[in-house]
Amino acid sequence: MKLVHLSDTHLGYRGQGIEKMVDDPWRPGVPIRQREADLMLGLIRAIDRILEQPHPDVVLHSGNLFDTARPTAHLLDFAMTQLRRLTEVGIPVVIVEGNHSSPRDRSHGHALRLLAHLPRVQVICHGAQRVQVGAILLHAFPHRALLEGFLPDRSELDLRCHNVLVAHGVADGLPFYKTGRPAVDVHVTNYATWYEYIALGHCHLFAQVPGTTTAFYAGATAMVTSGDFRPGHVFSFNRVIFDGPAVTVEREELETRPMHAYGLDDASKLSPAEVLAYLERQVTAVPPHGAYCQVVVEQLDPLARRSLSARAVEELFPSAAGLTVSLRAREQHWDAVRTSLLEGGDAVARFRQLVAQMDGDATFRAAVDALGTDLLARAAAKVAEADAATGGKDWEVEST
Amino acid sequence: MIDTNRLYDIEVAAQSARALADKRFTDLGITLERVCDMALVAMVLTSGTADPTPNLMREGVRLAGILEGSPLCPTILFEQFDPMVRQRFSIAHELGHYFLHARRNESSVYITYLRCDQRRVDAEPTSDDTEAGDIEAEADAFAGAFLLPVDEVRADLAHFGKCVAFLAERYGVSEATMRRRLKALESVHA
Repeated sequence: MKLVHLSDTHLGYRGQGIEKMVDDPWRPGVPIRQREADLMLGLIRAIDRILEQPHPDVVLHSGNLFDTARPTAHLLDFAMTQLRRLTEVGIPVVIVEGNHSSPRDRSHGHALRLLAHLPRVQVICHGAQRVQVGAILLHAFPHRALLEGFLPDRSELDLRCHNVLVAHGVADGLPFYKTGRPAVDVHVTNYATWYEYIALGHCHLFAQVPGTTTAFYAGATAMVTSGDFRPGHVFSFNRVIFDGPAVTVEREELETRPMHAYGLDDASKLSPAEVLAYLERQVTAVPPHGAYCQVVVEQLDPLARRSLSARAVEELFPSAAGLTVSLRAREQHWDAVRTSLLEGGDAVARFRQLVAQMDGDATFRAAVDALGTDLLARAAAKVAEADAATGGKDWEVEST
Repeated sequence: MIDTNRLYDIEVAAQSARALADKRFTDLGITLERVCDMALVAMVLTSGTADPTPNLMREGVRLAGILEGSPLCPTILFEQFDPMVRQRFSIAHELGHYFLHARRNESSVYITYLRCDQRRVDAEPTSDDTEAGDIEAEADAFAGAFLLPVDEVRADLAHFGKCVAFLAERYGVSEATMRRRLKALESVHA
């Protein structure tokens, strides 16, 4: 018996940051964001691969087929067309609800249920449910069931079958498996020996749960959020073969858009021009063509940060498929400002020197200069007034 | 902490192994790249085998890698379900045992297999690692030096600036491995 474990296809997610607009692979001429297209291609490629090889007895999707509980008509059409490619050659499909597919307002109904109108497609989106496909017995726990406290029950096992637990959640509550939107913890290690295979959904990267030999996240079929960004990572699905008591798990890797990281961990001593020069060298060595790219520059001097425009960085990546840029200035503590004001001896002169280095036009700088100089003069007058009253003892300024 | 002299010896051993791999690859008409296939490198260097194995385990303990078999034709096994960067490090770690710890002169004797616990390979140094002669820490140091040659990393730091994520991708290692190597280069190889 063979089972294919797919998960987290997140159809409809559009990504964040700057992304190329491309043709919808399903509707030529309709522009969509690169991420949305890649997620659709991820499902198409996975099904292509499933159909290329000896057909499995069942294809299982362990949650978040769509990124939202209210997919568009176009996405429903797309998903049904892809599922039909499997069902029309006789492969049954079981789809389990994930946290993204679960409607918050239950009166709206469940969009996933529409898919169950296709022959050989079963959708599990309410309570825990058992589904038998030949000798494979699926014990499915959709997001809603886990939320309502349903738990795997050993008495539900049928030892004549290959028992498979399917759940959409966070294995053992481990932080690595958490994503942006919360899901229920599943105490997988408690059940690891009950089932021949545990099919998990929620984490977007392939993973075997530590302390088990049977529990696996299949991972997404393409990059979903920036949390999935891992240079060198290849998205995949799992092929599980039950041969008597032996279970073999094989990872089926899919064509994956490359991901590249660029940046500087400490740019505190660099000018904007130097930062751009380093980034340019990185881009020359690892061209961003057609890749998802992340640029993180840390610890910039606050003045350098103001002068360094994100646009200048973006211009180094014209051929990237997607780009996120993070330019972070080091924290400017008030103590540092105060020291810097005092170290020159004359607070007014030092202040005017700082204002002269500011960005902005001359009129703005002149206004800040006038306002600050006036405030400092008034502060000095107050100090002098207090000195006269106390003999200066309570108003000594520490200069170190 | 490994003794500085021992660390120097490990660095030299890793550089020699890398040079040997480079030469043997060149003889085969292949270029040894930064992100090389470590299983192939291991086979070329040891004349043995290097295979991914699912659920790698001995005596109930999950392992990242194993070096076992005849010293003339050793077997390296590494965990099939580990991420690629982890697998590369595990193989380099086992090569560390091969070059530093296997008694290769006793050709009739099997290497007592060196089992490398998932939690120990490529781990942050802890107080347990401080004793001299900790072969796991030594194999980690070898793996770091083999995958991240000191001269190349220094040249890249000067050329590209310090960006752990960029350099980790360039050398096919995890960011944690790259961070540890940069720290070692700062403190020991200054």
